[in-house]
Amino acid sequence: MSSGIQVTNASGILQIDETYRRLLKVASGTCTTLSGSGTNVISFTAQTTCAPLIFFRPASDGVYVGPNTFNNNSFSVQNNGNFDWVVYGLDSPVALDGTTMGMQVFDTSGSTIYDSRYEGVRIQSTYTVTQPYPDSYLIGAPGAGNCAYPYTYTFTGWGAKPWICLNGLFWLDDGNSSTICATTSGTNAIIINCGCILSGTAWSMYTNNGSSGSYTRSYPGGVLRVPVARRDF
Amino acid sequence: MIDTQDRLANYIATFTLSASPSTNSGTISVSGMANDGTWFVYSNLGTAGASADVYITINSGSFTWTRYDNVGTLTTKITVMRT
Repeated sequence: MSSGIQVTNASGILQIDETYRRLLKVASGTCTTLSGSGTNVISFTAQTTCAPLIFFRPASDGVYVGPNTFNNNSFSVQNNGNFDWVVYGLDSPVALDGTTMGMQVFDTSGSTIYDSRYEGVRIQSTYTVTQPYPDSYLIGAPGAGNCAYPYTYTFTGWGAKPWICLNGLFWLDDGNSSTICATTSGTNAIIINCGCILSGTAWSMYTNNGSSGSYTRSYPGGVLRVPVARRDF
Repeated sequence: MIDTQDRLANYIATFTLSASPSTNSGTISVSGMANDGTWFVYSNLGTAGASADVYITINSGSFTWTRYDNVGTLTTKITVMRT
């Protein structure tokens, strides 16, 4: 870099420079409606520049949220309890406050790259999650019984419940409309599971070792990546 | 406020896939991309009213997308971030 600014974190990860835009908060809220076996649709300001990035935080441990659809101005989920949600994007971000104090970073054309008055995504870690493998779909599969849900991922917390990236999870339009869903476990772990809500609030969770549920259609295989973020709100 | 542990989501690019055919796949090149845990690729549909799945695989210098289920007349946006 011949000129400008670079901020790196404790691990040498680039946080701010004069090159990259950041995704900013465009909407947030709390969902207090249970989906049952259907879905809840949550709307927000349309995003046209990029796909909206959505995080959620269950109101309590054991409340699972799984994705159904992602659109440019809404998303839908299955959930068996209340959860908070936040959407990040590039169009019409919401300012944290109107103060003139803080820091702004501009790119070489004068466009704002960083502005401390807006809330950006603060990812703490990203987990790699093996997808279910029906025995009939074995391209690169680890074999039956080797990817039995649920998975628990533990990390060094920061004293508040983590936010889980909904986009990193997955929904499959099979006969059971199963979804890769997630919940928190205290302030230092998340649990990722696979299943669907047949009625009420009870999930029917699936494993891949024949002990629970069944997949009627193949998942793509491979892995999912699930970011976990921090918000001080 | 940011913290020294934060990985701030730096926006790299967004790619738009046309609506048809519903089930298809492809590879898109992204300079410097690596399967090292710092890249994140995600997607959405253009408008509400249908369901579809887009599965992403991160490669060296590119990512592969596979789209299937009920795309209908919808376009798909795929956004690349680095954290």
